[in-house]
Amino acid sequence: MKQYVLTIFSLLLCLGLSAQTTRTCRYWFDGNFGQSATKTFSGDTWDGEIDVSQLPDGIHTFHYYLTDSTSTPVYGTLFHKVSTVGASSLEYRYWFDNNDNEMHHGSVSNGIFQIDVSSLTTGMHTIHLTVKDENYSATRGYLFIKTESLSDLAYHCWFDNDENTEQTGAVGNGNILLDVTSLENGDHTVSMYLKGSTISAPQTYVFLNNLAVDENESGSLVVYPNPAKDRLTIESEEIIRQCEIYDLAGQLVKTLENDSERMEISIEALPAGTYLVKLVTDSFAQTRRLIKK
Amino acid sequence: MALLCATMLVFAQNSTQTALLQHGDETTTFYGADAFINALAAASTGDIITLSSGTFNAGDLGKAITLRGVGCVSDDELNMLPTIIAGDFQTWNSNAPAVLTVEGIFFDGVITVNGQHAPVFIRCNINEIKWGSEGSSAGMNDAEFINCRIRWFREDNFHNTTFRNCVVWDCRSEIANQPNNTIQIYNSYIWLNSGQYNLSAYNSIIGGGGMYGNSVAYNCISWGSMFDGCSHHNCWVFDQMLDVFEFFNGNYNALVWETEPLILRGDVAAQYHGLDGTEVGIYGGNMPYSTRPTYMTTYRTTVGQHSTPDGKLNIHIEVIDGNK
Repeated sequence: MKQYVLTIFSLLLCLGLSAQTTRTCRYWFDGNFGQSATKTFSGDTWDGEIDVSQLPDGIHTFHYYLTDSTSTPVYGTLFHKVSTVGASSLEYRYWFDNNDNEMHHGSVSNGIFQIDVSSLTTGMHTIHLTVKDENYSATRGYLFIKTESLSDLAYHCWFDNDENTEQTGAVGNGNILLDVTSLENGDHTVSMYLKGSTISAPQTYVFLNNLAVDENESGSLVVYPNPAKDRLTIESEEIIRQCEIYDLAGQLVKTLENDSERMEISIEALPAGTYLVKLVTDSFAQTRRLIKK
Repeated sequence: MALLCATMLVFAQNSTQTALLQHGDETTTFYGADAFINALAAASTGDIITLSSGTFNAGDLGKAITLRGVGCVSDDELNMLPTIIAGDFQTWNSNAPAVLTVEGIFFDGVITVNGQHAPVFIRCNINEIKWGSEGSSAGMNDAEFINCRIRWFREDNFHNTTFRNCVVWDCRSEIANQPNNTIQIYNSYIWLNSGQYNLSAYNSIIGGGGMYGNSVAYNCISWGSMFDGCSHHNCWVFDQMLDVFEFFNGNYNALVWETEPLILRGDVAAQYHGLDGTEVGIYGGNMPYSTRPTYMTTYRTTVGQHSTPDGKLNIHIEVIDGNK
């Protein structure tokens, strides 16, 4: 019985792994993670083969990720398994999305060939395929989804429905910093979409741009000690209604209500670092920078 | 109070209805409840309109475009509300062989078809889709529905419709035995309001009126006398619907058409398989049922509630594989 194998050498080359680290490749077919298997190897590449004899002829997806001390994202590729019983090689041809004006040709001798889908946009597609032994077989059609990796995407962001404020850049690892220095303090919207081979649906969010720090201590607020370790004291000529403490990522870490001209706040539980303390009275709000030791 | 407002608004993401019109490399943005209508008016054949979450007013759809939303139901994991096109509208296509492609949208009104060539609907919820009028010859040819849910499918002049991993709650024809009203269903659940002719069913679950005439069923599940009037191969007949679906309460009228999961009972899923060896019904086959759009990796986004003191706004994007 002929053994069918899928060569994965080229799949690993692109990952740029460092040498001599032991790694594990977990892989599975057709989205069936429950039937996943693993291979362990050392070094940058694994010139290995995977048994696909249990798969029926036809289009399949191959999914895998690598782990050493960390994990890669899940990668996937599309391949076709055809039986070569009775023939040394088979010709095949295929086309996408009913577009038989752009037909692809090739031949296969080991029962497996990869299909290049790089020219397709992300989303659902059809593939139509026929193989020739003596005559071409009946064409079979399959559905599949072309996906896109984060590293290929660019972000497009703009503020307050004004496309003239658009900022773009590579999505990279997913962390984006937008420059909002040109915006006035107060509520704003940020709209965004991602662009790769196509564009994603736009999303809109609201944010508050009011954290510009008032470094002028001549106002009616006094915050001390600063830097502080355990407790923070705030005094004002007016009744302090509220105190909010934010980290430098803009995330709220503490909120306190108050009803006097003075308040003491325990900051013992906060990790050391720089924070922003927003204080609200009946007539004004000010933000001060705080260093927690 | 300002913080509270900001927090509420952040969770009410996508509060602004936005439509992006993509014409080649050029992108134009439209806002508000009429954003879809305005984008449609400016669109040309082959353009792509991408809608945000939110409810958009419906407009007559007479162009061969690609129309995309963020999904037809709420996605709790992504904190994403659906894209809804509200109200009735008509659709036709005067640009064939270019086709209309629609994905990831909830249509809560009635779609009246007055001539469509090979439209494709992917992962949509459709309240009702029907033929324009008996006096019109303009129907719908070669339509393809993939991972869709349709509440009312009135197929009087719909020729060669295909359902793949779909749920059709009520399929009916006011004109009995229309010779061209062929329907092919793969890995779907369909309820036939009355006897259906010219239906080819594979790996599917079929309820309601029987299949007659040239109808044929392979590896399908039903109950009662569904297959008595048609050619059937390797099909299975149960006493009642309750024997097929898990957690099914037996009251058809209590089903939620938009979201009813229609999961097979464990013993049924294990024992009865389709022609391809996967389970019968919407979760088997090549494209198991899902509501997440495929056209672009969907993504979970976290936006800082506040800017940083040096004037930066933090955004974190996590891309989700469209297959999931």
